[in-house]
Amino acid sequence: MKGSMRRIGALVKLSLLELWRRNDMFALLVLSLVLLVPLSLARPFGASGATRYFDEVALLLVWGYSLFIALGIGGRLFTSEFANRTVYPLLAKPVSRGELLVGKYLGAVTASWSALAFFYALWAGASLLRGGECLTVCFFQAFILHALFAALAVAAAVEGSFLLTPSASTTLLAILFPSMFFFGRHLPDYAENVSGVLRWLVNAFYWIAPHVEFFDMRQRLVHGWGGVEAGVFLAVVGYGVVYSAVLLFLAHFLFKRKRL
Amino acid sequence: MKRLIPYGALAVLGVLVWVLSQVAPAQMPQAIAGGDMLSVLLGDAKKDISGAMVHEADSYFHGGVDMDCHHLHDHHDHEHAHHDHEHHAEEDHDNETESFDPWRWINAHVRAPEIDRHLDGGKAVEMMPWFWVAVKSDPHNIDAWSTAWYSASHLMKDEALALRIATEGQRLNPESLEMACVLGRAYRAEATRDQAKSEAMFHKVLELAEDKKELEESDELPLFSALGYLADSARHRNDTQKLTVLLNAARRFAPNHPTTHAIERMLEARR
Repeated sequence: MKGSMRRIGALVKLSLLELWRRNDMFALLVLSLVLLVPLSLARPFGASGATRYFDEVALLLVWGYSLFIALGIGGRLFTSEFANRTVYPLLAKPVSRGELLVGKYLGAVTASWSALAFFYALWAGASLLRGGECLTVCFFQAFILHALFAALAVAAAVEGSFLLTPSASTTLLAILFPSMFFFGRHLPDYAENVSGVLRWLVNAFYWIAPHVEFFDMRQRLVHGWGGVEAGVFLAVVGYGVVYSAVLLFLAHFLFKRKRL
Repeated sequence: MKRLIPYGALAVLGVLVWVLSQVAPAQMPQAIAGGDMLSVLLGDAKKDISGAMVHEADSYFHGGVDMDCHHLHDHHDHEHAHHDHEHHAEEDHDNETESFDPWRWINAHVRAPEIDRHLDGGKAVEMMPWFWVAVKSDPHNIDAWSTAWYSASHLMKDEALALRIATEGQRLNPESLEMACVLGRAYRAEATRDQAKSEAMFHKVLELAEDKKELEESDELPLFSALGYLADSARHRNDTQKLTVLLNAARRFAPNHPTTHAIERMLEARR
């Protein structure tokens, strides 16, 4: 057990270093500055004092970045190992496929979370500079739910990489996640407007698809609504954990059946 | 470093699009006659974007709650709004009793539709960026212009800002009865009071209405508002002749309209 934990720990450290050695984070930071600095100087109709639009756009960017990072890390977690044939020496050592999957997944999630923490810290800093109150219960709830979203996205990307080619999997998830994020809660309304098999399909999709919009607390943060009730918060946490675990279990099943 | 190239290119492209949209659009080859860079790039999609931005402003008015209804467009008939809130609550209750949907339950609680607060006072400035994007996307979105003016004038109580919005909106939509009426109302405000300009704008509303072969439903409110304001001014000046002219005009448009009857009563009181 202790040896297993040590091996998983080493894999986590490796993934974390990989993310921060790449230039992705730096590029995203530059892109943010290019977009947000002019936005912060805007005075619509010559009126000053509006700040919520800035917070909302900044948080939307953080959501986009977190998805980009999670899908990127998750998608190349095993495909690069297979392509470079480095998976063989890894498995030749006393590391089981399950340990390798869990270790690399936890590493990818830790890396995603570190990037997320960095962007939330920047957002909180910018908010504090403008005299806002950001270190609230709502802020921490928003961060935790966003982190769970990242964990779910990494799990989906890992599972997708075993099912499809890396580009197909990433493209599909890059369409699915934003679609669910923006329109997932309206699916029952769409189902009501169609009939027959299509209605059944939309309803089935509504129940099965990942409801990533549950993790979105941007409106609460931006408009200062306060945190969600503990019961609701735990329900969303439970949803994220269970959904990620199911995806990982499927990934493990596919990995075990994969011929190397 | 190579990985930075696409991001750098994207940033350069963004800056280029912005610069091109600002600098002399009339001198550039246009795919759409008379259109600006946004028209060329987005075509009819800009109208949808503009509508979405007004919807976003509406959700800001409700403290961030997406109401999927446009109370702001109705210029804040609070009784109506209150009724709608109750209506939504009843609907939600009915849905809950029909069948329990855990996903809907989570969404409802995370997005807190039970919160019923409205932006007012200086905080209403938070809506302005969305109105600004709305009118930049589609300068002919009269709803966006008039709601932005209403927010500045009635919620923020910033008459100078309201006048700027109304002036720009009317300049870009010279054929719109509503924008002429809005500008007339903006000139009537205490801080920016200019009786002559205000009346000139209300007269413009009448001229635009006369020039139209057939009035649309949306023209009725600005037309009779303008008639009402002009009649009110004439009454204060004891100008019976002007009241008679206005009454004749009102009768031509709609003899049974409440404003027509109101002008009739004003004249009868003078006789």
